[in-house]
Amino acid sequence: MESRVRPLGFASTVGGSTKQVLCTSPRQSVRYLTAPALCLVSIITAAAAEQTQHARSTASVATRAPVAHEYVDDEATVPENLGATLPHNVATFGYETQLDLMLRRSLTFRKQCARIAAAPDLHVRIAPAIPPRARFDHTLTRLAFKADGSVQADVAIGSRGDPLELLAHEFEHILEQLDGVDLPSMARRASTGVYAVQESVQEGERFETKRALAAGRQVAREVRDGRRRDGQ
Amino acid sequence: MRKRGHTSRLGSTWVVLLLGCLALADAPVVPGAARLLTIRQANVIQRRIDGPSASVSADGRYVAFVSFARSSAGVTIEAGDIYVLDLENGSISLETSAADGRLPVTGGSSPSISGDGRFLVYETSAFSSASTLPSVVIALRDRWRKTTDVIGGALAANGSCEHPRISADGRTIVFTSFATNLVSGADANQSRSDVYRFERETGTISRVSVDSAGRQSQVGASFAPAISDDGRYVAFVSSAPLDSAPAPDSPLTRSVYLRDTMRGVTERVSVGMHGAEPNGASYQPSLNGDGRWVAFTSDASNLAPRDSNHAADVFLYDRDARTTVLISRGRSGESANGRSTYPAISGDGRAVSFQSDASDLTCGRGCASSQGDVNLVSDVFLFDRASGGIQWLSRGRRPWMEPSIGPAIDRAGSVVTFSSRHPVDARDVNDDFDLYVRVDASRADARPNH
Repeated sequence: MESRVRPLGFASTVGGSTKQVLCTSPRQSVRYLTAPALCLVSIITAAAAEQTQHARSTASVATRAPVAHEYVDDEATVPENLGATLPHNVATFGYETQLDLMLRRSLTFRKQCARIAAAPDLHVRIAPAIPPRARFDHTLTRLAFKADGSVQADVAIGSRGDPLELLAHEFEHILEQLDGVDLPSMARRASTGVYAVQESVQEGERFETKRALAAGRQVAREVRDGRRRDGQ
Repeated sequence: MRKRGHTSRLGSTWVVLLLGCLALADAPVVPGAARLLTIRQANVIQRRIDGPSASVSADGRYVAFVSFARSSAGVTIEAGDIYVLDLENGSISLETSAADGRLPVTGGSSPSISGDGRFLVYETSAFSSASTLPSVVIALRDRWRKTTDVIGGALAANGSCEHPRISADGRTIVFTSFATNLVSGADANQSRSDVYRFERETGTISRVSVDSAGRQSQVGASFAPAISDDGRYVAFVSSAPLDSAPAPDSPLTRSVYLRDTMRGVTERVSVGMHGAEPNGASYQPSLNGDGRWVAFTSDASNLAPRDSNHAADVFLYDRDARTTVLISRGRSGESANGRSTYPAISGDGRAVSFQSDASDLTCGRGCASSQGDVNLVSDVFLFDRASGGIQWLSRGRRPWMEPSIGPAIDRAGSVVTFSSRHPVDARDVNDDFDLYVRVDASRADARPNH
């Protein structure tokens, strides 16, 4: 199986250092990872990331005084007021049918969307991967933390694998970066759920996470369960 | 596909929330089962390095916390407000804006509440006559008398005062200050921070960050104090060599010290095995009620056996036995596979809550995938000293994917608070931190004789 990764160009940036974080298919090089996803996350860190934090600090907040509630577990906590529409900051070029299905049937995906929608300066763009010179196209997410505090996430979905799982998988990688997860650092320690995969120096750092794998599988499972309930 | 109308769904949500509110006051607490409350903090600026934004009274009845929920939409956040939740009747009182006019304050942060909930201290900004810029001062609020004052008349201080902690008996307050004029005499380390102790009844302030001879070091800074129930013991962080003469040209390392203010003795808590010097900094002390147990964070790997993770860990020091135990262990018994910080020890010394990025504290290899900690972000855990077990608190029936940080705990370990980005309810689509209050009645029932 082809295991090379399509080389990527980075978005132009101002300030901060640049590093690549690449997630790859487990079947290609990491035996204990099973999802067919292959993703690339490019991160412009340091100062630019700090500016993102600053931008968050000026975001709008709720306007009511705090009240204590009993916490209601699990599904009841999934935000439901997004209806069946994607967040305003997600643009799609294809996959509308799959995304609609996921929104309607997957609570986990709606929860992912709620967090993405709440990120004030995040812009997500989803499009099919353009077949590279290599034999296979791959699922990739490229994140650029820009100097103005905004974050651009470009998700390219490959043709191999379940697009429902791939989409949710990539959304979770975006959330990981919004959470400030330090993939290189975690990959250096054992059993953290982050795995480094580097197949060539040119490709830079590449990582896969159990978190994204779990999220992708969970969403795919919820959509399948919804289909069964509907008798489809 | 089963369809439900938007109206009915919305309606049922309101019913659930309404019932939740009504149930709060007299919700039955089932022995052995923890109850989890949520309160909107609307905190978009909280970072995992910021520490707790809440404080629990020793009796477990009151929770003082910071919330931005009252802020206007679209307004740049400058300061949150301090509220107090009464767990007995579910009421929440606003404490910062209820000032009686004697204190021109703007919001508050870093709250600490006394054992019976009467006294509350917090950081706030106030304008002094000496400057056009606001300075950070310590506000002391008497919740019974509804009065708020700056402690020690510190508006005259020539430096900011931060990180206040009040003793459970409400008589003593400790805090960090950069001021050089809080006590008489020269400030040997000048504008570097020191730890001070304020006696509420006498109004006196004394410097705590001194060695056993009462001397202040000319080098280093001291900060982040914790205090015992009666105010006698104060733990703090210092880069000053308070238990030995400074070695020439040696870098200053942060250590955790404990001062017995009655005997005038200062001892170093963060010590290496077999008398070795720690090979990393120690910080974030938390002191139990009688001052015997000190929980703290350390980057050092030679404080206790089996620490090989090259990350910050949480330790527990027993002053009686003079032993240090590594708390943040994975299921294998080795140090956990991620950074653990911000310990909060219960007043009885039996439980330590802390936050950790580690994924193997409660679930190691062979763990069911649905129960594994795969979120890669901080979670809040509770260590039980008696059993040695660790419980994952910041989760529901299934693990949460969002970060949870900043635990605080009461005397019995039955009430633990923390902040989390996890949605508080079905309508919460804000990606912000809110407060979770976990009440475990079984721990209160199991309170040992002390």
